[in-house]
Amino acid sequence: MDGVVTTQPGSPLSRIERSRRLVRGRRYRPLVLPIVSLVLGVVTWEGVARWYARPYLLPTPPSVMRFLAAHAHLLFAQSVNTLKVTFIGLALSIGVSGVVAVFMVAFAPIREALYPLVVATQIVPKVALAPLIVAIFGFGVTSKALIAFLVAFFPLMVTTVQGLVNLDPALVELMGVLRASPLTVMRKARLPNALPYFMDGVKISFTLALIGAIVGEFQAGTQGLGYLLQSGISNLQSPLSYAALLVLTVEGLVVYWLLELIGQVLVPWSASARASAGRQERA
Amino acid sequence: MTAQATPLEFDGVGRVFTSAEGRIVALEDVSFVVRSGEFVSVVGPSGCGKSTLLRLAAGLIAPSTGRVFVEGNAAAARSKQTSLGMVFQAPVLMPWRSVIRNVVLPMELRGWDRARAQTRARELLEIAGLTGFENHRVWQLSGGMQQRVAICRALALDPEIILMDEPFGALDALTREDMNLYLARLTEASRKSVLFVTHSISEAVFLSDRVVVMSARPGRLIDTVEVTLPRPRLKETQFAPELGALSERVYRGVTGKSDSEIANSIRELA
Repeated sequence: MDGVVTTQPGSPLSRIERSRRLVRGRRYRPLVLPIVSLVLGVVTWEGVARWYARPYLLPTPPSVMRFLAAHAHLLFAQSVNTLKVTFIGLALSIGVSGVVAVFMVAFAPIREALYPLVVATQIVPKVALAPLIVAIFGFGVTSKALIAFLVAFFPLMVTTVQGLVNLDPALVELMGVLRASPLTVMRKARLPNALPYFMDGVKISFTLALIGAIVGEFQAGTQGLGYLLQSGISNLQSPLSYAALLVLTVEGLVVYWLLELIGQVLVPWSASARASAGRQERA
Repeated sequence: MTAQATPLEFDGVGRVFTSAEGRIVALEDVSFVVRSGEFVSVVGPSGCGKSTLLRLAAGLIAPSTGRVFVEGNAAAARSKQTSLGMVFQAPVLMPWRSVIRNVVLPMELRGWDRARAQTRARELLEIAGLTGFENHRVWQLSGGMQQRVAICRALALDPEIILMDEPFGALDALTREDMNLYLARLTEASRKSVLFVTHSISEAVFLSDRVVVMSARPGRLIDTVEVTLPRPRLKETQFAPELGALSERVYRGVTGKSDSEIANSIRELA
């Protein structure tokens, strides 16, 4: 195109051509711009670390990467421990919130009896319970998974209840015209309706369970990335802490992305899944 | 019930809604019947209780006064055995189900075996011109196609009565015309008893054997217009002079204006 069409600068055609180039460039922007920010961030980190000049508190990026390469095995093994605790906590959240949500929506008396109490318990900062839980259940996986569960449970339960309740009123009427029993409405309409809400809740709960697992490892630490992070600080071995933090972040991102993928396969009709498939939801 | 039972009967029906703002009389002393194979439309201004009539017939709510009968029995006590098809303004399809599985739903709830239900659904979709879309996701279909899926679902159990609540209200004018022709063809072939609620007077006259005209709140029956247009109703019928004359009579009923008043308002517009 460029070679064939020659135009005066500032002429209408060249302006059109320029805007076309801009649109073409825009396609790569979602990929290029975050990489630019990342590079800028790392460069800034390097600069600040050199100026601060206390490597036992703030290591430079290359020293963290060197540590990561040298101790990859240790970090990997400990990240598996953290993930294990996270997933046990998440699984507990899924099981308990699923059952509680269905019962609360199906039976009004149960809802009225439990819901205010469950909401009230959310005022308690669950992280503050961590020492208590460790005192009761010891330094094993149980305590850590329990802390992860406590932190992760509530949002999942709330979103699941919402999904079960927010059924299109016309769909409720349709089921009424078909003379469907409450059990049938639950099975054929409320549960599938709740699935996209539930999947969104699982994503939120996962990130919270990960926080819970780390807090648990701070408290009951002999294992896990949380333990490595803390021991790196107390031993003035800062690259260890930063490497643990980096692994933790990557791990969290990868699992979150996997959950997103599972959601798209499981609930292709959900608004978010449709949007990412490039389809507009019909009004 | 016996085949002779009147499909649908409203007998002195009133309905009052009580809310925080007070009592609202939605319907007052409405009586009319839908005879077997008859297509009856209800027109009237917004808030005249048209949709309330359908909900009463479907047994979703009970009348405050009077009685509603479906095939000779109280509508609210309708058992699962007496099926009734309902089409809403929105298609109200389940997005987690494919097109065919949406049509299968009523048969599934009735306990039909899978193969039989699938065969029936395929037949209905073919009549609706949706062959080839059986396994599509419902949101991949246009608004008119979605509403045809909803009509297939309403016909699934081959009910004697079909209730329609402004089913084409959300569609564009051309699609709406197509849907009217499709519905006329469908009801003429199956001789279903239909109660059809609409805002469109010409649509009501085009489709119906009878048009029931209702007043603004509280909804009362103020006129019943017998539509003498020949069947089958075709594309040409939409331009028939009789349709215009009947529409005018219905319009007069809805607006409550006399001939001279209408003439005056037309002059004012000009």
